[in-house]
Amino acid sequence: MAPSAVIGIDVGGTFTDVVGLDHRNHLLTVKTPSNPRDPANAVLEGIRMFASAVGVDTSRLLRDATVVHGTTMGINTLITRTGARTGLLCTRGFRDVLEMRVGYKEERYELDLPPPQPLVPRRHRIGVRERVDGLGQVVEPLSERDVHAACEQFSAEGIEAVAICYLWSFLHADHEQRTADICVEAMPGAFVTTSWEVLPEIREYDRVSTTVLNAYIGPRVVSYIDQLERLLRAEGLTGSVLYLQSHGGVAHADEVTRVPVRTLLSGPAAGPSVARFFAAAAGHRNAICVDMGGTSFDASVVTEGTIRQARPVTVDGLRVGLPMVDVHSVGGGGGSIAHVDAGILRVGPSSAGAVPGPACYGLGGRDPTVTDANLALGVYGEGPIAGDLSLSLGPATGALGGLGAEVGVKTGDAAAGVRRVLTIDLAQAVRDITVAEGRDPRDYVLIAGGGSGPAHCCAIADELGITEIIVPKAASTLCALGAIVTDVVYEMRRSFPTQLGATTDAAAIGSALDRLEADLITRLQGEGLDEVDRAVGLRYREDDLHVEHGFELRYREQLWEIMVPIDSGEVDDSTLASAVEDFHVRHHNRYAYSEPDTPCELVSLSVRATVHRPLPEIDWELGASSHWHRCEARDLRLGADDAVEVEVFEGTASPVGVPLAGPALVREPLCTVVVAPGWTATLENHGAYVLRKQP
Amino acid sequence: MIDPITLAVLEGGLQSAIREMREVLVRSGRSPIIAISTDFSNSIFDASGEQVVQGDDQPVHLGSMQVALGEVIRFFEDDISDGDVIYVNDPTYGGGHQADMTMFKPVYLDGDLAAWVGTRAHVSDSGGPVAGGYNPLAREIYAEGIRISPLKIWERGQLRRDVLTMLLLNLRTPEAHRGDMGAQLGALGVAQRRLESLSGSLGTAALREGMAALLDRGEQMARRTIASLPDGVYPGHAFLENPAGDEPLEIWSEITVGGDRLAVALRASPQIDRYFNSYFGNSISAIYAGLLTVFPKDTPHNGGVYRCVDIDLGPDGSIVNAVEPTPSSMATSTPFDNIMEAVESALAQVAPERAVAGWSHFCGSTFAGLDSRTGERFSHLSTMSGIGGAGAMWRTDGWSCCSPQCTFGGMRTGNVEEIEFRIPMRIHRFEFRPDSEGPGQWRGGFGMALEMEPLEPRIVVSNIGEGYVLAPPGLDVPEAFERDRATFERSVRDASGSMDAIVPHTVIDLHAGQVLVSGSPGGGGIGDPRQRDRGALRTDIENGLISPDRAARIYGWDPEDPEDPEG
Repeated sequence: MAPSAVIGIDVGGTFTDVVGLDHRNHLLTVKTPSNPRDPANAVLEGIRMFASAVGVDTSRLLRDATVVHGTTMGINTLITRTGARTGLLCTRGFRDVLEMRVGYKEERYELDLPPPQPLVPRRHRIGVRERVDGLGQVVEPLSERDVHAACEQFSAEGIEAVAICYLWSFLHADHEQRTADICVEAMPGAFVTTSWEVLPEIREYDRVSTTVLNAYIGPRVVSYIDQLERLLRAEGLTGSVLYLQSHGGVAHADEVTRVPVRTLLSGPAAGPSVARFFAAAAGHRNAICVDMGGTSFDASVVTEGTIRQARPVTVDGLRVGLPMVDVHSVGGGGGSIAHVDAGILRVGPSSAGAVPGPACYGLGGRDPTVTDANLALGVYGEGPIAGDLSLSLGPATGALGGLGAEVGVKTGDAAAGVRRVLTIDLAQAVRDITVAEGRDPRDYVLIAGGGSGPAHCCAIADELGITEIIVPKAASTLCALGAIVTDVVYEMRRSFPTQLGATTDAAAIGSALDRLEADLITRLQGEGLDEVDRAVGLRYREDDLHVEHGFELRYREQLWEIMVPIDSGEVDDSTLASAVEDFHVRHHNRYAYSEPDTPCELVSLSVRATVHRPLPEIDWELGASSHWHRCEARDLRLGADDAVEVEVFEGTASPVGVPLAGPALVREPLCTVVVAPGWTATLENHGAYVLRKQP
Repeated sequence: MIDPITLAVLEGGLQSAIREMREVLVRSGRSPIIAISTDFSNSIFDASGEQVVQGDDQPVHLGSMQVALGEVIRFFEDDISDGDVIYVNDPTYGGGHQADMTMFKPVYLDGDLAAWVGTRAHVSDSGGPVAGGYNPLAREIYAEGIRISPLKIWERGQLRRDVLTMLLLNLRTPEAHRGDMGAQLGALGVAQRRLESLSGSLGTAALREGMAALLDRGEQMARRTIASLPDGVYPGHAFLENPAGDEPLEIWSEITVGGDRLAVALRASPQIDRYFNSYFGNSISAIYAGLLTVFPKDTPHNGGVYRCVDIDLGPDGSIVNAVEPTPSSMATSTPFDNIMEAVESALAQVAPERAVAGWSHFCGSTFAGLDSRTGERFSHLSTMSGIGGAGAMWRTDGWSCCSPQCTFGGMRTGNVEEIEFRIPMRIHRFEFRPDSEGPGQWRGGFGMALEMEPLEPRIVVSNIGEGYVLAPPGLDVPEAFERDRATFERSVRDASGSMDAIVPHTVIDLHAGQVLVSGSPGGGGIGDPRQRDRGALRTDIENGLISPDRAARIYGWDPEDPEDPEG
């Protein structure tokens, strides 16, 4: 085992996966049952099993190791509504901002949708006399008496966590900070959090909602992290534990205990990192990652090496203003049911699930599914698949025949139609996160994972005009692998609303950006936080930090911003001028028009610091075949044309570097790769098939 | 005959185009009401102008885009060319009110007209004597802003600079308007590109045939729904406040269900010389919006559905079938909401389980003046001051502080900080208004309380809308409990603390040191308030939303009640 071992831990609903490299650099995954009641001990158990699988003592394994962890503690606490009893302190006159949702009902055509229940009921939302204006000037000083009175009331009502969110606090944090000090003193043991720490940005609804969520899930996440770190240290860990954040990077414990809401979407956030890893190995910086299993199709995007984020987002009905990895999920997988909806063929979103499953499982499913269509078309062959299941053609053609009769076409045409319609839907899901942002999918490589992804990726790529696809052999362990290939990323934005023009004070913007960067670096370096990380002093050398700066700009009167990167943290008039010029270009790319004569507004400043972690040198155990091993031949039909006989090759014996021309099928243990006509597939050294469209 | 597979491909492509149009407008529109309040709609039509798809956009625009396009086609007849972009806002040409600017573009495929794309958006200012377009003082339509008959703003791919210049000359915020036009043009452009690409993949003939099939499909779905409703003739009714007199104005509806056809007839008070009149396009939209109470959520918003509904707006010259020169700037909320209510009250007899109680109507303000921070003039329609409680339905309370029914709750107020950044006013209070709900077994949502202070020596406030006298009606609520209902209140509080109620439908100056204080009504409740769940009632009391006194008086609240789980 190399001294700087990296161990990835992904806690899922059923299993906790532990991933790392053994002494031969083979990728090793250990599964242990998750334990929602004591997840920290389940993690420790998984690490012990992993150590034993590798053949070393746990303490030996953990010494100097880096443990990277995606936790579901935050999201589970939210979904089960088992968070802290939370109170909110806000500017007097604005206690209902949280529940008013800026007057908006999301599903407006759902007339009988009941009103949402906020995490903090009105009686625990207390207004405090204080006011700051839009220039950051104090209009009314903080009434400490109000804060004390509120604390008394909170204590009497058993409040465990306090969120503090005042108007314009991102321009003047003193009131929130003083309030927090009073709360900490008056309510020992309570979890106290301010919007200044969580989301110092304009738009109080996003800010209050995110701060409240931070308070609500905070105590549970923090106590879990404390317990986990204690257990691992006791077991011999001397290195760091890093936690996956919703924005796709990892952070140290002190950062996620300060703002636990950053771990809210910790789990799916690893997906795009894996996509980036495989894309980079094939020499690409733009990748669209699609993960298609039995019921859903998840798409995410990496552009120029940067994972696409979305914000604000709605998580379980609640608004979150922090940027999160944008994983766009639609109903579309192997189990998706095809049906006719008043003259239109639809595939999904309902799914046959695992039980009864697709008709071809022979477990009683009657509805035609995508898997049935793939079997009928020859994408899959009859016979046993993973998990004691077996595919039989009879029930599949029976179900599809019924669909064909309803549609008025032959069974085979119905099956081809199911694939066609599914392709349209999935391509649309990819368009939703690319074209809508002014990106052209043709500039991207497609990374296809999940049990069904490799069977549909050529069709999706053809629909979108994409000409290169990467199908990792380790498709099933993709997400767990994510933990060990993710960089340390700290990201902060702070609003500094300013009209840009001849009189703009560039120096003021520059010093605000300097303050933001200094705060961010302090948090990243964790100086003086030796309770968590043994090493006293800075965590990283200055050379290790890759710092990026940006402005969020918009035209005056617009309400949404576009992020414009700037070259360095130095801000002068020419920086502003070139940022504005860049903004016009980006605006045009995204919205098909720009207005170079219209004044712009600066809304927020952004700093992002990345520490690149060394990528693991994985030995993919690719074997030494020099040619493709054919195991059978069968008829395959993909589009409107008739079926043709194609060869099926054994994936475990695929040769490295030998192109295979489509149409052909490659049978992997957990999936089938369809190499469509016009495409070739080549297994590359980095453990993935690369499919290329022939010009 | 087009098969369900090809139809799926086509429908997917059209929906995708609509989504992209929406994205362009939300993200790049300049008027706050477009960007925050998403007050816009997008549609794709066949070559004849029948609407094939519309996004789940503003209900205010349902169907009326098709009406407006019909007017445009009638106006230009054969004088339509590839590269034309047509702009229109006038109510006599199917517009809602002048602030709604509609842009249409014909799409030519293989050299022939194959489709139309259209977008309608509410802009910040439409000229005329009052900034923001809502003019309570107008006695004629000429005083409500610029009237744009169908005109070509682009002709055969060339921008008509003369027309654009004349247009912008009539508006207070030309830069913002030009930005909104850019966003609209961008939206039409993405839709056109998608149609071209669909035509490339499916063939233009299949595209035409498919659009016809989608219209037929909408018609069949609507007919099936209507056939499932009990046949009969159902009367409905709604009041609206009279800005020109004491007696309320009235709208009567009659819905006739016969087999798979549905007819809606409206009769109403004669038109008045105030801004509460609705021209035909707007009234037709309001009827469709009201009918959504009975049409399932997956019914497409398309011309096929409209084929099944016969509409009779009654004689010319009423408040629901206005003729020149009567003003109509409020029409998209009043009487839009009232027409919906008249339709819904009839439908409550057709499908009682889907009935909805009255929502708070739009009763807002617009602010205008000079912003000394930028040295520029501003005008701002305050959606914040126009929200109120939504009506209850059986099995659910109404939403509190929700945007009005004419938007189905889909309009945003914006954030306090954004508004303070944008206009020179300070907001002192923006929260729920206790005891404002319409009582019921299921109660209405609560209204809002708002206080705003100018930071300039003088700001002009235009007070618009309805709800000062009549509270949103409850449904099946015993009359005795409906008497104590909150209505719209709007006053000016001066430095000494004395309050001066504002006369509705006026334009006033608000001076430094004064505070504009507003409160809106809650939505109507449904059922007997004495039957309300005691736990739910206790929660409202603990939250300070219903006072113990009101709870006892209206809901029969008894803190010692043995039936209350916690009592």
